[in-house]
Amino acid sequence: MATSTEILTALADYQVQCNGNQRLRKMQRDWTKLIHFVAKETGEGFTMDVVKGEITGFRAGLDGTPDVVVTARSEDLCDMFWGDLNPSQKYLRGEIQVKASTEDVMRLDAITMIIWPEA
Amino acid sequence: MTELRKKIRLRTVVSAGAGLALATVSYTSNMQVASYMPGDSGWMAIVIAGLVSFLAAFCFAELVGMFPTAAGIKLFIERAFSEKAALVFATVYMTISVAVVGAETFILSSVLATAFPIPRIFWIFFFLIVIALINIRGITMAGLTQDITTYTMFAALIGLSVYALIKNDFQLVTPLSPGGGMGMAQAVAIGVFLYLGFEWVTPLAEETTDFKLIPRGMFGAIILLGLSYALFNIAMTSTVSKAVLTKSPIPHVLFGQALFGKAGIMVMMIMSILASVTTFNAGVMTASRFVYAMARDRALPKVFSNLHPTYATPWPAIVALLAVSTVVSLVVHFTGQYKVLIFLGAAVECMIYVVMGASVIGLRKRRPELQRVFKVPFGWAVPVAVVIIYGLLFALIFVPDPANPSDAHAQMLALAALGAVFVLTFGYVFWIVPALRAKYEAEARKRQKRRPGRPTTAGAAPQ
Repeated sequence: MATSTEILTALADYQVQCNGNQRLRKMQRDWTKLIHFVAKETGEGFTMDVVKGEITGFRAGLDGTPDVVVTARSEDLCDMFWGDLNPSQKYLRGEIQVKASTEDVMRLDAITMIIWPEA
Repeated sequence: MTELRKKIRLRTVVSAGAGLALATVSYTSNMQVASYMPGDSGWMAIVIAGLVSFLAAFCFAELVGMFPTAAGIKLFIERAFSEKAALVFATVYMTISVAVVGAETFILSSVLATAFPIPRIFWIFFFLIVIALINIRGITMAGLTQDITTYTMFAALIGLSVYALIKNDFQLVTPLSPGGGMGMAQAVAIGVFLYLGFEWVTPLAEETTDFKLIPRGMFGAIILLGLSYALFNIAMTSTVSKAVLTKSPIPHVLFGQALFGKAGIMVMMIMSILASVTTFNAGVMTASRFVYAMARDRALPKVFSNLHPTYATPWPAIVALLAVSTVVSLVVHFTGQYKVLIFLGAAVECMIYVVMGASVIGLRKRRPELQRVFKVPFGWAVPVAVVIIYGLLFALIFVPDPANPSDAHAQMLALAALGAVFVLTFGYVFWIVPALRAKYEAEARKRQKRRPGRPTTAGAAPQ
């Protein structure tokens, strides 16, 4: 089970990877969303702000009304943010749940696809 | 529990389900149903097909309640049976759905060729290119636009039907005659095709205010479709000779022409374009996301997981699907065998309902502990009934009817096409997918893990 600190560390790396990827920034330039991540087994939540494709902030706790809610095991969240896990496979097996429009689900997966195409 | 900002309401769930099912090919299928029933009694088969669809909707509702995900059908089958079974059935279902898009293009191009003196083949390419651009651009119909378009189409359909019946003084020929049992059963089997698409609203479960809106929305869509189709069926057969209607790929245009002359053709053309665009777009969008997901799941070559650099849409998947649709449209254009796709679509719809009924049964046995937000009432009766009824309807689609000898050839071609798709899919799933996965997993194992404190390799393989 990943701790809150581990997830926040992973999120910090994720932010650097996303914001530093020009291709992703161009692709997601119209994408402004508030995203909640929920760790299934602990119930801990994390909030991420995406403004025009840039991750402008993240924090522990569930703030505001989200556009996207991702629920997964804490280990999967951590591995996903580090790029060690293909979230599509977990999603297709029902192990990662995403509450969002079809387009937002796609865009969320696109992030991993663009940053770590080999994952 | 954290709740979404944007939520879909019942009105939109109904309009999405009904809008997806109402396509231009629905008018042609409607007359196909009529050809198996005496006089003006085709509506009876449509209503029965709608009632049977309720049973299938119950099964979908239980499954979506357990797994509210856009991965939908594939995930239900995988959890109830196996991943290979899921890949086979989901792929066959998607392939035939894309082929039906090809049939839809052919029918729509026939309507446009009637309205404008431009060859049909031009319209086929024109529409497929437009749909490709719309999908690659990622344009989707927003909830309110979808609601307005769909409800306007249904209001027009019902209004035209009532007008035609009043104009004809309700002079109907045997409107209450079920005829022979076999003809009736076959008409119901084909009638199932008219409802194809109502279940595509299940991915909306992730966006609704309350999960219960999904079953209610499916039931609402079936009622709206059943009422409109049944009325339109009676109105058409009481206005134009059934023999003429059943031989034409564009019976609704003949009906419009009989009612209002040239203006009627234009009205039907507008209704066809609206019906086709909603169905096309949703069909191609759903199928292309499925292809993308398969590629991300390493069940298809990586190229299909490429995204458009500006619009984040899976453009190679969209282009590939539309290439398949173009081939199907051209084959239909040159052979005139559009009925094959009606039989094929109806058969695959029956097949997937059988599999959904079996999935409900399988999951109740294998995973009784799973929380079911919605449980089909009356215990095992409904899922078992779904398996039996749709299994029989599936078989009946391919049984030649002495009253419709001209359809026998199309029925056999549909059976052969379905068999071929199954064989190819089996081969792909059992031989090519394992090889693809082995290749990609070997690549993934070579990759260093990034998470600190983890082994340096072999993390990205599927678990």
